[in-house]
This record gives sequence, C-alpha cells and structure tokens, in this order.
Amino acid sequence: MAAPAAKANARLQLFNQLWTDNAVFRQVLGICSALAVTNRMVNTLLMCGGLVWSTVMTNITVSALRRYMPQRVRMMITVLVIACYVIVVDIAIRAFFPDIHRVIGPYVGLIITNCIIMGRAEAFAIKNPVVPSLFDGLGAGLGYSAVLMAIALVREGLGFGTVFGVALPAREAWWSSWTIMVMPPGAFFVLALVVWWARGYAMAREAAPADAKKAKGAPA
Amino acid sequence: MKLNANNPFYVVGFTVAISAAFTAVVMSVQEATKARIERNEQLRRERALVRAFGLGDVAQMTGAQVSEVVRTRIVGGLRVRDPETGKEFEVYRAYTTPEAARDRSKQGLVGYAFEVAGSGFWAPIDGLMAVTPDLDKAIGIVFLSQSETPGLGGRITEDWFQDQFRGVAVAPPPKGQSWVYIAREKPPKDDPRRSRTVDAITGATQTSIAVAKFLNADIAEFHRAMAAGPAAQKERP
Repeated sequence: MAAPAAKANARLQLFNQLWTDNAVFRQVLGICSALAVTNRMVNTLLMCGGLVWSTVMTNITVSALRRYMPQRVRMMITVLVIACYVIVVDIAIRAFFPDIHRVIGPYVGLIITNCIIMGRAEAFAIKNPVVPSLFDGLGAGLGYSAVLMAIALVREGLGFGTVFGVALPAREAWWSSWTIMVMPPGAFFVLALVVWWARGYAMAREAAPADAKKAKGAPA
Repeated sequence: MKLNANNPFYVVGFTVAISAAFTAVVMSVQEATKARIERNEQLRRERALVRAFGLGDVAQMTGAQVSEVVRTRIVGGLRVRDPETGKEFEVYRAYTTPEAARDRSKQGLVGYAFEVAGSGFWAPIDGLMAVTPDLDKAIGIVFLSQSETPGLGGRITEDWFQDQFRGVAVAPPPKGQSWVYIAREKPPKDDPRRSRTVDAITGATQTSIAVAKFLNADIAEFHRAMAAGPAAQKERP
C-alpha cells in the first residue's frame, strides 16, 4: 500500500499537471496537435486518448526503469519507449476507427515528438516512483485533453454547427458557418482566447489572498 | 553487488534488451490487428464499388452483405491501357444478377468502374467512377481518400456532392469542350454542357478546379483505353 505522503504527492502532482502547470496554457507545449486535430470533437477525443495513454505509459515505464537506465542512453531509450506506445495507439485507431484514422493518422504518429511526453518523463518520471509518475502523466495528459476539447467544442460548434457530430438545436434558424473555425487559423484564435482566460483566472485567484491580507491589515 | 550502469557492456546490453522487448510488443500488436486492418481496407473499397455502381444502400448494409454483392455481382481483373499516355486502368464490371456475372452476360452488364485520381488543393485525391456500358453516362462516383480542408473541399466525400454525378454525361464532348464541369452555376437548359455539369462546393473553388481537372484527364484516358479494343485489354486469370 502506498504511504500517505506518496498518496498526497500523487494527488498534488495530478492537480498540478491538470491546472497549475497545465502543459498547454502554462507551458505552451503540444501546440501543433492542438491546432491540427481540434476541428472535430470525436477526432480530438481520440487524439487526447492516445496522448493520455502514451504519457501515462511512458512515465510508468521510465520510472520503473530509472534505477537501471544508463544515463548516456537515457533519452534514446525514452524516445524508443514513447515511439512504441504511440505506434500501438496508431495501430489500434487504424484497426478500430479506420475513418477517423484517415483524418488524424499523420498527427497520431507525431505524438512521438510531443514535448509533453518527453518533458514529463525527463522532468518527473526519471527521478520519482511509479505511482506519482503515473498520476503526473495522467494529469499532464488530461490537462492537455481538457484544453483541446474546449478548443474543439468552440471550433466544431461554430464551424460545423455540431457537437460530437450532432447538429445543434434549430441551427438552421440561427447558425451560420464560420469557415475560419474549421481551418487551422481558427485554432490559433481559440487557443489564444483559452490561454488568455486561463491565465487571467489563475492570476486573479493568486492575487485574491494577497488582496484579502492587505485589506485585513489596512486601517478601518 | 552494485550495478555499474556506466559499464559499456551493460549500456549496450540494456539498450539491445529494451529495443528487443519493445519491438516485440509493437510486432505482436501489429500481428494481432493485421487481419482486421486488411479487412477494413477491403471493406472500404467494396463499399465504394457498391455505392459507385448503385447496387445498394451501403449505409443500410452490413459488411457481409456488401462483400456478398461484390463477390457475386462485380467482376474485377480486367486491365486496359490508354495507347496515347500508356496509363493502365483496372476495370471492374458490375452485373444485374449473380448469374449474369457468372456468364459475363452483355445484357446483364450494369457498367464499368475505374479509378480516378489526381492532385487536390492540398494533397492527392482518389476514388472510383462507374459508367454505363456504352460509356456515355456516369452511374456514380465515390472519393476514397482526400485531405482537403474540412468543411470546404473535404465535402467532396459527402453524399450530396457525389450523388450529383449520377446520370452526368461522360460521352466524348465536342471539340474544345470538357468531359465534365464542376461549376458554381449550371449552364442554361439549351446549353449542351448542362448535362455534363455538377454544382461546385461553395468556398472550395480550388478543390473543385482540381477535381474537374483530374476527372477530365481520367475519363478521356479511360475512353481511349476502352476504345483501343481487345489488343490493349488483358484479362487476368
């Protein structure tokens, strides 16, 4: 059974990666795929699933091997591990979701070069036990997924008038296709808005306790 | 005994062992899904053939039903070559009944299908076009792969666009005219080009131009290849 400290560490790591150190809006990592696969929510969901799987499994593997891995071939081995898990995802999508694979196939292969996976393996998994590494990978993957799904929701809604392929209610009456949203530049705009909102919200939250302290200390 | 992870033999041994283990994992997954992936590809092509020939509503048919129609009513294996460009086509023939297919009956022939392919606006596009036995009219067209802009050029795979090709004239045109047109608006009723025209996709002018370009080239080559007669035709056993 994991010790309470390790449990707390794992939970903290999950939250940190989900929000505080979110890979997309805090570290601006994984942007290529955020732009390429977010015009359909189903495609985005599968891409995110692939990334979560690859991040978690790479973190677990690198963490489990950390005591045995020679330093001089460390990065080479990590890339090999990432490539293996990504190829497995690619094959699985091709076998079970062939229509979606035809659209996002090239980008699934590019998960291998996604900085989030290598970043978490190098920054965390290589020097931490398996369980916290698992949660770190899970948090990083889910944090990335949450941002991508939010972008996809806006882009698919405005670009196609659908959500997960289902037409929005009475869209004939009010909806007009925003062509820019289905094209890559649309993702730039939405991503910028998401980063703006998330950073603004985080800064406001961080500033709130300091303001409260000031207010308490101030003369009546 | 303390592990010396810097020992060169250990480094090489570790790298080889890890590479072998992970390669084995990838190979196992590949092997386990190989049959399914091949079946998916085959089914995709079969659905395209059935749809192009108009032999059934593929959206309502199971994979087994589609395969059955292809197995009993569509005959492949005929190759024809355009004597002018040297381009070869694999030709599929569809028949009204399994018996007609078995006898290669000319009366039961629904039409021929051949591959159409070319450069789209962003990347190559390919598909299948079916034409009547006299090669005068299109029975249907299905675009199998494309990487055009989603929501714009990517709409060439939508039913409404592909269905427009049913009945479009593809007989040799008068000199100076095209075989087919993809245009923003249809020509007037008395214009002979009207029967050769389908509506373009709004906002996807470049894709429409690209598709029209390779369709015109492929239809012309297919006509020449079929007209070249049995000398240019090779039936595979």
